[in-house]
Amino acid sequence: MPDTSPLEVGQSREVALRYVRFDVTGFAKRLTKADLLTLPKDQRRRLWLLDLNIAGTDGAPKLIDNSLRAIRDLDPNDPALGTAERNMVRLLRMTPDTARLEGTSMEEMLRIAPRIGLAPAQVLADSLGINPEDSFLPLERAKNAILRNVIRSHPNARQRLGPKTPDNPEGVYPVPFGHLPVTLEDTASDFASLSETFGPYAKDGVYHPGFIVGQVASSILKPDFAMTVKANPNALPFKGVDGTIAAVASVNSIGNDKRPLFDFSDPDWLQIDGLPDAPLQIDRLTFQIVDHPEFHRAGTSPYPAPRGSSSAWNLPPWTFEYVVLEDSMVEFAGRDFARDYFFGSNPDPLVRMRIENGWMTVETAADLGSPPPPLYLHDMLLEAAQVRLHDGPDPARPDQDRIPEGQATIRFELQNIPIGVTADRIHQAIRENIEADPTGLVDVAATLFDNGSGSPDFFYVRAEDDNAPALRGDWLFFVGPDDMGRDEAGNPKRDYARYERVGFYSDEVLTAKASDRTRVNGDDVREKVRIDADAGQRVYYQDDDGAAFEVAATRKITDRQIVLRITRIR
Amino acid sequence: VRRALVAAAVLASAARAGASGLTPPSVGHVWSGPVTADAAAVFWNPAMLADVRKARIEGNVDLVFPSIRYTRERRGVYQREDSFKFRLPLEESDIDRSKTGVGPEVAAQNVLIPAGSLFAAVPVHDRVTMGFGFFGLAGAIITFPEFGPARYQLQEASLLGMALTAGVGIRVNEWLRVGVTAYYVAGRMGLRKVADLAGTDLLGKALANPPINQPNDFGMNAPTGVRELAVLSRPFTLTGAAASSATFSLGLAFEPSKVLTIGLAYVHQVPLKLQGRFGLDMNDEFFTQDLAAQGLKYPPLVEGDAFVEFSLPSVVKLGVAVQPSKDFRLQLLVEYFRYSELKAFNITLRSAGLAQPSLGVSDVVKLVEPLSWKDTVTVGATGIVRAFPSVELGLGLGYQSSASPDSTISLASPDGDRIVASAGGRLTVGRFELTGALQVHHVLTRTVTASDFDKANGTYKVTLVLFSGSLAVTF
Repeated sequence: MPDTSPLEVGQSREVALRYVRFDVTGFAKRLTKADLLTLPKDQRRRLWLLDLNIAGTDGAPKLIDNSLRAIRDLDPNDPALGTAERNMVRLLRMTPDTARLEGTSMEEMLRIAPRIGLAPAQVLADSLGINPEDSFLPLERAKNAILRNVIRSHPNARQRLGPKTPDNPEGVYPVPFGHLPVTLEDTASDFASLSETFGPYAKDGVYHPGFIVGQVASSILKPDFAMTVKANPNALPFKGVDGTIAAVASVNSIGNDKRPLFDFSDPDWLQIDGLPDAPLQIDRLTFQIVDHPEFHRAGTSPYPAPRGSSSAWNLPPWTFEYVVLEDSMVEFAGRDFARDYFFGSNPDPLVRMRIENGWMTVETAADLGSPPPPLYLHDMLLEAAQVRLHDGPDPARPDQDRIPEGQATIRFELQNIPIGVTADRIHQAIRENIEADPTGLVDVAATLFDNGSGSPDFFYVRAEDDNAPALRGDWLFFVGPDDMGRDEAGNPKRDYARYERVGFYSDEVLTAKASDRTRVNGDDVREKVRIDADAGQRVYYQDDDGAAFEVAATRKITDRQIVLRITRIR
Repeated sequence: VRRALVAAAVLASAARAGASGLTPPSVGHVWSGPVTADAAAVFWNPAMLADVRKARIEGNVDLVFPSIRYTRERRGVYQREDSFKFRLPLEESDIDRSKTGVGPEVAAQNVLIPAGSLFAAVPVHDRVTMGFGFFGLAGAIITFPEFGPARYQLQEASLLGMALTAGVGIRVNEWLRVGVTAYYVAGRMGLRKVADLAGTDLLGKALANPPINQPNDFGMNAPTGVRELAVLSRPFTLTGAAASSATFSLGLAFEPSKVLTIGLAYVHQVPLKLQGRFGLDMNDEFFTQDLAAQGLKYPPLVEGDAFVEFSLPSVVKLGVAVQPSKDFRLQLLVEYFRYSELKAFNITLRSAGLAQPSLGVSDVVKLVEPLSWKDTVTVGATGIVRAFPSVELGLGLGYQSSASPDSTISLASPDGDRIVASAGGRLTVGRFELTGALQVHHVLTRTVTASDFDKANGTYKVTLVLFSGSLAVTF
């Protein structure tokens, strides 16, 4: 057995290193859910598979469309639903015909309209430019409002984690609008992780209550789900030296080699099993929109246009109030409308309604009573929505036992919601995305097949015919940040920052750099130096404990084997 | 003489040793044979025991001085030993052109190998004589240099063989004798070499099986391009492999006239299964840690039980003695060894350390070394002259054909067509007979170019010099 006792200052020891490649082709690794769960969580979260289109932007209904449709189709009298949820169902179904404006700024209008022979619903429909039987909040608009505000405001729906690369050292990537990122973590957990990813968020001064809460379950992936990847690794690690003990240590070669790990020209390089033939669906998901604890009145000023002065504009976008307000503004901010309402043969109008850029003013004859105050249409709808959301449990007596403000947060536990994406599409998307950037999967492979061991400071590489003639020969590569190995939690085993002087030097005091990042065997990220055993070349370096060493190439055993004498000099 | 021929194979070869070598290089004295009436007839031809009319004891000591030289000629294309390409074709950069060609000569490092035998014959009736024998081969060791062209074939082989016999010869009438002998055969052998795992299924299966799924050229039929890689060249030892078995021989002797004796004997085949321990040095990071994530992980030293199976071949012996006068005797010998019964040399290794469960490799590995040996024929003639009343002198000349074909020859069985010459003398004083002999047998230089997978191509030069001495006492 080789001597692995710590090297004392002034002590030397010879170490033989070899450069042997075991170039495996088409190495198939099947990763079941259980296998995936053995990976460090951070790695699972960083292996992005696809951005799941939830918005139905291509015409076909997707998760959010189907979810809202399912909510709308619920029985508003179903005792299994909470009061707030039942009120939300009614809101989604509400039309001018079924609207109740009691308690809103438009309440006066309800009293005026009958006196001039008009139906309040018609006045309301006129103001909004819709038919009395049309929904105030069509599903398509509700979907977009929720996407824009509730979902898009969640940091994890705007950006996702991915591999840390030199170009993206933080490993944060944007997510397209209308999509949710799906990672290996989601697949491995049957999407239970969605409630963590899109649940409450509080970080760096950003807060979001989340829009997916509680337990999530999915049959998108069957119990026998597995990913089978075919890789082409050099299965043998690079042999290096841990100067502290002047002994051989190994650097992980997986994903760290000149050969591409995956051959994307092979149509079978990635196989995914366990995607059901039936339409894919989320079995259970609880969707949430938070009620703000205050009632927000319509603004009294049209300025700043086109929003107006309602205090609701100061709310976070993920609140129910803001969603309704923003959606209504987008819909009606440009509405211009004017109508005079007459009664009998009286040539003078009893009511004059004017709407300019969504700002509505109503004038009434002197004996008809006070008109409603001027207000934006979106404020009018916000008030209506707030009042209705907090109605009491009895639809016949909505003002009894009303829900206090702030306690009408809506949580719909949805079941069996089709996601509107086929298994083939998911398969294809995963392939395309990983092929476009295999870094994440390479990282996973590097963890799964980690063949490194010990604490090497540098390793030996033989540059051969696939390098330019001037580069061929023996090289010592100084380890890089990715060579620290990872513990079970995915954290580096060693702190690379402890290498205060990265690379090799030609003098003992480590002032004359001998190494650079010349591209050798496809590597241009590590410091490296050519070493000549015939000349007895010596280089110097400092390890992660601050000890300094002399490395002398003493002889070659074969072309791919070299003997180094390691001397600790400090 | 032909016993010494057998000894050459025995001493040089664990395999051949197993096949024929649990017998000593010379049994009885130099002139013992199927038509010799001495105590050693219990071995040679029990029918001839019937002609031993007085009780006698015979002791024999042999000293063998071997010279075994080998010059390897690699004729195949090899990859560099520091590579690890497991499947052809090879890229030019992986080929070591310097390996192909003639290498340096190596020689067995032994200088002396002892052997001996002890026999007794006791007449129990005027027509019946019992015979007893012990013959053994003590500490026969052949050693080749640790490094060099012999290391994949043999670094060291040791052999301790013995046989106990008991037989009876019956004089049926004036011209016919019959006899039978029971054998108890025991042996113990050891072997040390560098095992080329590329030529076994040990690693080939591990790589080919799921989950690694790498079709490879490793295995018994591995081409030279994937053989003799440094990583896969693992020191192997077989120690204390012992076995015992029993067999029998039948003999007839005819004496159609006073000047002519014809002896015929048959020795039955002896199946042997030696059981010992093996050690396979896997102390290379390739095996102990580098591929652990792929499920390949051996302990640094794999130890376990080893089972070696082969058979001692059946033999038919024919001897003719012509004695035209009291002072001259001519002995002719023909032996036919059924070496074709040996198809292969089978080694079974069993050890928990061999098992690689995740790669579908069990704890049992069978290594088959094909032999495809041929039956051999020995012919020889010895003339014995009584020079003085108490002194006899003899000269012998013989030939033995080769058992191993070019395809399977190795330093473990470096035989060939052999010429054997002997010169001996006997001094008889009263009840004592003292016999001494010098035997030289020379294997005709054999150049092999058709060794399977280029494992043993090259030139073989084998010469054995054997000094033997015998003392017989008649009562």
